[in-house]
Amino acid sequence: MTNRNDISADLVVIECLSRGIDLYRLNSEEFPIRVGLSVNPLKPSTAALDDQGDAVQIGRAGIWIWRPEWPTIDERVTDELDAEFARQESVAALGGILRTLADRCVSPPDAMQAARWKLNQLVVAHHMGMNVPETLVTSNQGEAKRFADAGATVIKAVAETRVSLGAEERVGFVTAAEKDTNWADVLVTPVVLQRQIVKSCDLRVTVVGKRVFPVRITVPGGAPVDFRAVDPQQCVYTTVDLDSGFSDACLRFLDQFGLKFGAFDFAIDEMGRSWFLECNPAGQWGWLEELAGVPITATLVDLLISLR
Amino acid sequence: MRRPLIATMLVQALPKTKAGTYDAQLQLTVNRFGEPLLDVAGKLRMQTRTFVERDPADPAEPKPPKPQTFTRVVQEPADISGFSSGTPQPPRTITKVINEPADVARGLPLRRNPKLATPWSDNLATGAVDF
Repeated sequence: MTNRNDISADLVVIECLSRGIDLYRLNSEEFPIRVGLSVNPLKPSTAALDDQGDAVQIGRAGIWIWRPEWPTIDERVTDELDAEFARQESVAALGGILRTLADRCVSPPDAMQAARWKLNQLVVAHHMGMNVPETLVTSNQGEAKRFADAGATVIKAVAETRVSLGAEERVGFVTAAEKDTNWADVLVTPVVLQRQIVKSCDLRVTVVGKRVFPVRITVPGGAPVDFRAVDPQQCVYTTVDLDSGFSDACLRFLDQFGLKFGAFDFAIDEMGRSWFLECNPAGQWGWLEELAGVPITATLVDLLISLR
Repeated sequence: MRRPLIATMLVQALPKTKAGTYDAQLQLTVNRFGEPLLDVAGKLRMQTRTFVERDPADPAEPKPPKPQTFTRVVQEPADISGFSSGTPQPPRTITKVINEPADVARGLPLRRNPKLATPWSDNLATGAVDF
């Protein structure tokens, strides 16, 4: 379950087709206008989609939810409230089906919802024995300034450094605090302030099921704090081995949320210590597969078919 | 005017461009020759005969992506992965494909296109589902 434009989903489709695996791609923006559904909630295995007359049995399928989009309502529904009502009902129906089939999902929707709260991620990471940088979430100008004055600080969004309204979208990255940062701006809305780790490199750990794919990412000198702001071609990617304790902590972290997929970002300091930054339950992997050769797509498909 | 602190650090994302068109039958985005954009390893070359035999000349398809879309990737560094906002540059073999449009199989890239590694998008998105 994804959307038409998602290229990561294309990778999974290609892998399935190349193996001869029967696959149906539900682009959720085509629901319910093009694709319908039917299910008896007490018999979720009977759940089926109706793709313009073709029945697609999803009740016994492995299900991968990856960045779905909102349902599209028939434009002939001209009353705005009618359309909104249809949309919320469609979301409830599709979301409801997914919950009845949660044990067939790579990562169930409620698990992904729970994992979206990054502040709680820090707590769970700490409980798993991971190093977590000193962190302050605040809308207090004085607290923010005191934190920044105490040491090198990065500024992060509480949720995502991305916002869109209509066709307009703005994006950003984790940014180092500067001496002239206007801390009065935190009065408008809280921010996450975190002690900046002097990094020797970054570590992206992608976990699929029980398999762990750690890749060290070394950015060029003078690069921004956030490796995601660097042209991937300018970075050096190296697959590395993790000790079992490290891998186990990542697996337990995902277990805590009920996830079977997660993309962890760690900063590695000059002493070689790893610092948990965040875990994205829908983190991209395609560029790592290209540049580091890690077989994440194939492993994801293995996991997906194991859920059938 | 007051603004959230992080809002002052955001940059305008450039309009999203999309390479290729969605092929509902293949359940993939394909280029103007009907080739899956991401099948750089040619995994589907043999398995999907319908794909290989597709008529590559489709006048309704968009023109080949222009190199300037790479500039866009640099300007929108959030766009580490995904074609939704970055358009993969056509493989070098694309000229051959154009010259021999009927021979789609021969026109497929013979090696991995390194440019495909760069335009992945949305690495910042949490993928949190609202469903």
